[in-house]
Amino acid sequence: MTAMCDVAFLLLTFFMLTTKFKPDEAIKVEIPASVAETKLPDKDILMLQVDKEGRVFYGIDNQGVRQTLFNKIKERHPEIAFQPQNERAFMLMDAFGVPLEELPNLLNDPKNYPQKGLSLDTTKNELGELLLFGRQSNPAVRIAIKADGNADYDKVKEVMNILQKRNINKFNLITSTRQKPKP
Amino acid sequence: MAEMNNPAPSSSKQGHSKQKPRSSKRSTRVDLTAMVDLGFLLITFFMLTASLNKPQSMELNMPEKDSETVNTISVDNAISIVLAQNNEVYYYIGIDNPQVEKTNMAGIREVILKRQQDVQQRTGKADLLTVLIKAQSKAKYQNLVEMLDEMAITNTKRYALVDYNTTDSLLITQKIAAK
Repeated sequence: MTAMCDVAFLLLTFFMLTTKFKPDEAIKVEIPASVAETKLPDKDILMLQVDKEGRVFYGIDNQGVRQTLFNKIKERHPEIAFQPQNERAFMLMDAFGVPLEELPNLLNDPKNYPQKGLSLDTTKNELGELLLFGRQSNPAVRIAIKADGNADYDKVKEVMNILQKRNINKFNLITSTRQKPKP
Repeated sequence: MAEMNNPAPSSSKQGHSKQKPRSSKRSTRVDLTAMVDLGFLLITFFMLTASLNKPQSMELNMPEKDSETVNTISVDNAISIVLAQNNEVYYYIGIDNPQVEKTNMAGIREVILKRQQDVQQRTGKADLLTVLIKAQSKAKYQNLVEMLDEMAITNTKRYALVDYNTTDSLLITQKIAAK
C-alpha cells in the first residue's frame, strides 16, 4: 500500500510539474484537422490567428519578448500616446487584434474593448512591421498561422503574402490531428 | 483495498488486553485509501490534459517571392485544382482549351491518384506529377488545409499554391454555364 501510494504521488508530482495549462485565448478559432505529425514547439512562437470573421490577431509568447516588442513599437511610433501602465497590460496580453493607433485604448481596457482585427492595409503595412519587430525581439521565433477552418481563404492569403513580402517563406499551419486514411 | 489496511479495531483490542491505557499499542498506520484514490484521480486528470492539448502543425515552404529563378513545369505532368466555395473542387489538365471537371473534396483523391498513375505510365516516375492548387478567395481555409493534406496522403511531392487568375475564372464560369 505504502509503495503504491509513493508511486502514485511521484507520478502526480511529475505530471503536475510537466503540465502547462492552456492559456486563456482571446479569440475562438476552430482549427481544421490534418494528418500532419509535426509537433509545434512549446516556445518561441509568433502566432498569427485568423478567426471565422477574418479578423487577424497577432501574438507572441514570453512576457520578456513582449516587453521588448512593446518598447520597439513605442520607439517607432512616438505619435501613439501610450500610458505608463500600458506596458504591463501588453506584457500580459496573449494576442491582440487592433490597428496600432487603437492599441492604447485596448490596453486601457483589455477585457471589453472590441477588437476588429489588425489592419492589413498595404500602405501602412502594420503587420509587416510587427513581424519585423517580433523577429527583432526574439530572433529564434517561428511563425505559425492558426486560422479557423471557416475563414475565407483570401484573408489567409493576404497574411501569407505579407509574410512572403517580409521574406518569411517557411511557416507552420496549426491544425488538429486526424487519422491518416489507408491508401 | 479497504480491508488491506484496517487494523484499527484489532489493535485497540490488543491495547485493552494489555491493561495499559496510557501507552496503548495502537498501530501507527493510517488509512491511506482515500488519499491514494485522490492521488490516482489527479494523475488521470493531469495525464489526460497533458497529452491532449498539443497542437499539431503543418509546415509550409513557400517559394521566394521575388527570386529570379522561375520554376517551370511540364504541362504534361501537371494538374490544376481549383478550390471554390461550398466545398466544390474543379480540376483540369493542360492549358489550351482544357476539359474542366467538377468534383468535391472527397472525390479529389481519386483524381490525383489516377493522374499520378498516368504520369507514372508515361514517364516512369510518379513523383513528377505537379499539382497546382488554386483557391478562390471565397474558398474556406479548411479546404486549403484538406487539399494540402491530400498531398501528404497521396504522397505528392510537388505542389504549389498558385494565384487564382482570370484564365481560371473564365474556365470555371464556362463550365458552370455549360451545365
